[in-house]
Amino acid sequence: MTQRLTVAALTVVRGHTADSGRRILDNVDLVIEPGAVVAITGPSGAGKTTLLQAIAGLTRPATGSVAWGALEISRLPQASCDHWRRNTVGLVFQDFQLVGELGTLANVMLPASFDHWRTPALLRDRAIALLGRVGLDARAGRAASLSPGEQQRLAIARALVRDPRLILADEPTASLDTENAVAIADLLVGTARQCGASLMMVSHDSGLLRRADHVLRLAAGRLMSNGGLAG
Amino acid sequence: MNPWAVVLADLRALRWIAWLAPMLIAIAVAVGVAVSAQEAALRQASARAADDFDLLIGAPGSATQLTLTTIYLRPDALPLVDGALLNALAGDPRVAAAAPVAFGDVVHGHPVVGTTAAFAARWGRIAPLEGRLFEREGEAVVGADVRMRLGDSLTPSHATAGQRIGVERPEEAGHRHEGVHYVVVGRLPRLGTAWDQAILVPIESVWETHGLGNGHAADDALLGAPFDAAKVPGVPAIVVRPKAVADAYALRAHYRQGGTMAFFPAEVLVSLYSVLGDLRDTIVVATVLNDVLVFAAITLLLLALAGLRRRRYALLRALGASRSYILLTAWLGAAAILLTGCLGGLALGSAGAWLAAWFVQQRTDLALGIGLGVRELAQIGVLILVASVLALLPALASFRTPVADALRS
Repeated sequence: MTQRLTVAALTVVRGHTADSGRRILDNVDLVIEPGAVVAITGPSGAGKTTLLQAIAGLTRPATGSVAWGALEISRLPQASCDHWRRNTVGLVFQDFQLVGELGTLANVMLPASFDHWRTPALLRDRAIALLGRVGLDARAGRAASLSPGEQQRLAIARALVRDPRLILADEPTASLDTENAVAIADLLVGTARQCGASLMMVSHDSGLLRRADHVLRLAAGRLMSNGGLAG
Repeated sequence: MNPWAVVLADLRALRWIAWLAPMLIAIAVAVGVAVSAQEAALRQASARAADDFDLLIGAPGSATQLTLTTIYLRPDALPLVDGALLNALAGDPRVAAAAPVAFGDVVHGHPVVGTTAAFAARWGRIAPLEGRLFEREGEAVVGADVRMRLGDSLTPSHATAGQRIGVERPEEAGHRHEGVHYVVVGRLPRLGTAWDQAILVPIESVWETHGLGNGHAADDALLGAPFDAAKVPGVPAIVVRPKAVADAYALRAHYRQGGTMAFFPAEVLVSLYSVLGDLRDTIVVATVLNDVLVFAAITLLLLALAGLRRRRYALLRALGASRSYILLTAWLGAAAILLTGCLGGLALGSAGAWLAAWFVQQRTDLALGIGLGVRELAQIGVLILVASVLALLPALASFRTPVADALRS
């Protein structure tokens, strides 16, 4: 079930200690209501990707917290955090992070292999349908042989295959042409709205920003505007 | 969970290394397996060949040479022991059976062995596969590997046997016992020893061929004991089957004096095995070191490769894979390479051992039964386990790195 995402006084530091390191995120407060579509913009190095990673539990905050409903993600043991991410989050990485030696369908179904010896037929059908929606053939060759645009679409299909409650997408249309960018934006936002999932995306794509309920701006690790969101 | 897709992807990513690494392991394992299996088989086959030779009596000299000549039919001139001893043994209550064994002739490289019909049948343990045992002078029974048919007539030559089986050498052709003929009347079953290449004839025929009479008082006497004490010639060796263990030791002690030598062939074999054992130990140490070095190199390679996979592990973690999934992926990848190499090595080693066994059989007529020992399999199992567990280290280390950092690496 989709929960409220609460980010409170989140500070992420890169370096040896919280005092001496560089503050990538500085005291960020944010609340995303269930089903909201939120876009984050800002200059390079503003901390947009780090914010997504901290929310996903991929990086530990120096101070502050991230909570999914009553579940405080930033305090969870690693194994519990992995479990939560597996069952709740769909991640789209800026650099795709595909398994180049696997085919398109195998890449999309990869998260299913964490829980199942044999992928359930329902999940497999969903994977094939998703690949169709992003314009890829389920029988296409290895991911490494695809163009950057195709790889990005494949990464999006993988993020959506397990019907996540929270979709975190980092520049999901950066490698796409205009036509494909519109299709992917429709797919991401449409899927989120249809399933009631929350969608948080880092983007400079005006098409995506227009579809968002709220647009937030990060600069130098600080949230400059919250677009009317609580927090 | 099912990490096979990722494991296969990892192996594909290795490209030619995925082939080369198992090949190196296979070669290392094969050397160890072949040497070890060959040595064990040689030991077993040589011991089995001596099964029917409980106690050997001969003239004082080299027990090793008497063993090699009598049991393994390796030719050499042996001093003769008084043939009258055969009668003494025949009347000894401690003796179940005794038989003379005499050599010196050859037919197409096959040694002609003079003995009794009873010993030709190993005192009732075996029976001819075809035909029958010899019953009179001039008859012969051939070993399983002698390419002669029943009814064939043979003319022996006074020459050294075993040079080239099936081929008449000039030495043999020049020393033929013209006028002496044997007719093949039977074929013995395979014993897996040098005796499979031998032509067995009555001891009386061997004596007569060499102008020593027939060992009996009358020319038309029945074959075998009792012999005539005054006429029986000397023999190179007498095989004795004692009635009991205590009798065996008593006979050995008795015939170690008075101008004879008596010993259990097992004693000679133990002595030979101790030398062979020292050699084996050296070879085993060398092959184990060889295995360890190759496995160490492969393990280092796997460690390095797994280190390079930090980003892959980070991706799996980011997508929510559990630690056990990642560890299983790393372990299966390493184990697949190691196991493939080891299985290949076992196959290659067995093939090598079979080939070596074939060569040994050509030279010694000992049929070596090649089989893998539990020790070799256990040794390989331990190496796979240790190396594959070591290959987990990079995956374990990756858990200490924040996923986001590893994804950036």
